[in-house]
Amino acid sequence: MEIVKTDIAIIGAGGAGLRAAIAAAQDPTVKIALISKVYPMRSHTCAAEGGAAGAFSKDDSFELHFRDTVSGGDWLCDQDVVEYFVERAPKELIELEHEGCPWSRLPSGEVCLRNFGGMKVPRTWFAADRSGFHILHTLYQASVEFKNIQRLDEHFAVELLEDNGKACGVLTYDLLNGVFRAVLARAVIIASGGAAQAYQFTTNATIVTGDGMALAFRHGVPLRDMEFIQYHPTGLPGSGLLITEAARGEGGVLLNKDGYRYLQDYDLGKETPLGSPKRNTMELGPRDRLSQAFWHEQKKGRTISSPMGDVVHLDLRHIGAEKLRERLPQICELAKTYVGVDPAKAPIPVRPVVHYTMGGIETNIRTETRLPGLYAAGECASIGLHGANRLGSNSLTEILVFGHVAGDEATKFAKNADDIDEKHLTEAAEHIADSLFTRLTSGKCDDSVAAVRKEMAETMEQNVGIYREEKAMTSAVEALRKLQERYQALRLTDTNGRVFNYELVHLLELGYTLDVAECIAKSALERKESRGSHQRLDGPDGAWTHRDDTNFLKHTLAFYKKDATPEIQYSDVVITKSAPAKRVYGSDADEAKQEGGANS
Amino acid sequence: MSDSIKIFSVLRYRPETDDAPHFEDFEVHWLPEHSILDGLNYIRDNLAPDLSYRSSCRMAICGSCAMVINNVPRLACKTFIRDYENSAKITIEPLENFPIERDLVTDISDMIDKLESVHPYIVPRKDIPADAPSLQTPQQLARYQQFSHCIQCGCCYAACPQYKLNKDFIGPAALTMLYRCNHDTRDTNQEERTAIMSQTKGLWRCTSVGYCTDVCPKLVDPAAAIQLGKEESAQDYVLRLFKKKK
Amino acid sequence: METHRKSYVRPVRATWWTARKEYILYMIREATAVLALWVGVELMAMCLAAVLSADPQAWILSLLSHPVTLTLNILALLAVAYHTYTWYKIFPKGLRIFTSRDPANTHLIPAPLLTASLYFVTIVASVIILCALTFS
Repeated sequence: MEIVKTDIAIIGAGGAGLRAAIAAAQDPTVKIALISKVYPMRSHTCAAEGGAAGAFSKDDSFELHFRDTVSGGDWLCDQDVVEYFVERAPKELIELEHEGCPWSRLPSGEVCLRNFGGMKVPRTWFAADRSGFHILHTLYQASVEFKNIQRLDEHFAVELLEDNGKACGVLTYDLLNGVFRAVLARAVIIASGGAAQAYQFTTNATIVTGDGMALAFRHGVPLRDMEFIQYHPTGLPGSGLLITEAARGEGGVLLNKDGYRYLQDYDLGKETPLGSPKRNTMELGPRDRLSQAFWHEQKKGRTISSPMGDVVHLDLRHIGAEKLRERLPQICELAKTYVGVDPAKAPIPVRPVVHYTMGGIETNIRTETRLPGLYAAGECASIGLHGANRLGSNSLTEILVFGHVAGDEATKFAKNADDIDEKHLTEAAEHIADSLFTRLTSGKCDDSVAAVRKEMAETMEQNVGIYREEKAMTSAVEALRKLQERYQALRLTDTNGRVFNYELVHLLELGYTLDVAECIAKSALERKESRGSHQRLDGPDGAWTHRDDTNFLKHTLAFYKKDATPEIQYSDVVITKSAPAKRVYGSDADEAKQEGGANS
Repeated sequence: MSDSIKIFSVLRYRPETDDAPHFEDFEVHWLPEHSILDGLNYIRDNLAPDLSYRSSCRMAICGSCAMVINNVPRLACKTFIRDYENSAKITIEPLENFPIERDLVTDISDMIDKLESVHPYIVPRKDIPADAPSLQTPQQLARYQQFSHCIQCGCCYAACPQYKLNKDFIGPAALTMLYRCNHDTRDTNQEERTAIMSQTKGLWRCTSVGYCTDVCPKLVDPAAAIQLGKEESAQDYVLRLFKKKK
Repeated sequence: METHRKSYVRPVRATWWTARKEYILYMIREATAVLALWVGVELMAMCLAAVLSADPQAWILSLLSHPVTLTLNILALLAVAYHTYTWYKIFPKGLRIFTSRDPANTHLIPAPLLTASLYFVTIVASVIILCALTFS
């Protein structure tokens, strides 16, 4: 067994993983092994477009950012986490600027801030509409400077190694050499991203399969708040590719088949003049509400039929070609390339698609999980920042703030940790590796990874979507259990291949995604209320169509049960400054403000 | 599935069993919106589960799926089957000028090493306040912004005949990255990078073929970065001569 | 280190440049250097004749009117024209100039404009030189 000995092993080299590595590497005596199944610049952080939020302008404050985030999360956020986050957000963004991130600028040379959904003040730092790309590349380039970061590129995480109840490393598969490699460490950070590939239509890359979530889950760490799946209101039909919220921040509007700005019918305020978007109103409302509005329009038959399904129109023509070129160049190219539309001349067809996993590996405010030595940061984690619905541009900042924390905390733990029992761990790793390959290359199977994955994704899309009902979710839970059984019977067709055996990778990824999908479906079934992005149509006399703070102001915890549906428990939400109130947007928000309303 | 069928002729190679790569033909059912990547996914899901290729984002921003399609280095996710109606078959080969590891997967570590060797990180001035961003006007940003769009896909290395003939050549993407860093007003490390690009294996291997710019999927124009770099390198050389004479 | 790798490095043949039209055009461009060399040699010969020959004018006229020389010179003219075309096309790459110093301005002088200016200068200079030669 090939062995790498290190202090901190990080699974995932996207924004959070790189930020954690850079934080840990500040101490030159600390060794870091950065493990990723793709080269770091391929990580999905690169696809984020809109920007990263941090309170910075004179009209803004930590308090305002806090309140926007907590109400955006429909009061399911852990407020101590939100407070910590908003206070450190600008600092991280400034640090990135010093490291060379090409933030877009005002003529004065200052950083430009843009409006984003659900935010009362513009606080989103952006780099054209390639913010995630530039953040990722800045972090990657900065990480190259540190000699104590050892990169294990194209190494697939197969299993967490545990010893004496502590996380002690990761068993990986080195795709280039076609061998297993055990990374023995004193602390492990999971920064492996979300799990939107559980669904059929998603903005996400095909590598976003919930790997780290499933690994932690199988080792007894619960996945928290998995039912909260964010549908981004404006994805391209068919491919699901992302058209950034920034398009609406710059003034883009949503039209139904009658050319009507339908959002005004859904408690998002009055129609705002073209080209003058108003914060927290209409198209700048939060993502869950906009996606839900689409669903209702579709039910009323007011969406536009297209060869790739029902859509609405995102109209950017009034923004003008020049401003589009400056602020939204990438989405102009995406629209032209993938749907043949020039946004300066025609509206872009869009529809809600799955985009982000609010839930994830349960951690405390210090990114610690229940398994000593195991940390998690970024989209794979549920630290309590987003609650029931994430505000756009909070997650690019999340990876910086909590990636940093994870790096610091893991370093502290690693320095105080006992020596690793190398022999014992190596034997365990060898055993796992041997039995895995033996199992997967023994016997044949008529079923296929593609078939099981397709059914999983269709099941989730149809039964655990924007609006949910008991019958549909129950059938999803049952269907997923059966798919898990089918999964156990799957075998590799190529039994000789070792180098770049992507068939093995996809098979293992499917197993991870199925575990996560079961958590999503079961958690959704058990939450008998509507909150944020989890909306129900059922309940006795429609009881579950409303928010129920009495019974459900709590986090869902999904625990692994061998060969069975996950077990659901609950934990408390941390409320500090902001008592749960009604979530209001548009003119309701203005009225509430005038009355000195309680919510924000 | 659809009635439209296209033959994909894919260069395959299994190191464990093959001595050399060989073409294998697949009948791909496709729809008008499908990319080459969609076609490869179809092959993998229906015809050959062991076909190996890199892919991720599907939107030409991650740089994973660079390969040679009908003799042109391109991104598979941004190349559409409908544009090959006049071809009887579409030939799919791994990125040129890199060793083939398996099927369409090449070893791009040489390019990665070169990108990392040019000190691709901004070294800020020591006197900037830690609690405020530095100023940079839109024009200052525009001086290097285009060159920062490189997704490190490798198409330019596949296109470059100098890289084909001389593997010590630092290459288009690395030189572009170098230029990007040197022209960021916040950076203070131009001297070290200028020395790197001025080596023989730096800019001076480039003979302005220009095919790198033709194939770049993000319109970065590496040939321009190198051309500008050559001018700077020459100026720097002359200035140093004068400094030495003093 | 244990490995199952067996990288396959594709051989590079001497005919590598025939694989793409872009490479062939590049090689033609580079090959124009041979004809540029010819012109250099020709000029050298004429200079030497001016110094060494008894009747330099006659010698030079017979050289220039020889069918081989004539052919080579016509080819050289075509080569220079092609090289000029490719050079003018590439030239703007070395010139990134903003249209104004206003810090908010991010527009560069467009490449086609720079190329066109080179052609303009070429044509004007050619006309002047040809006129001077014709009417002198």
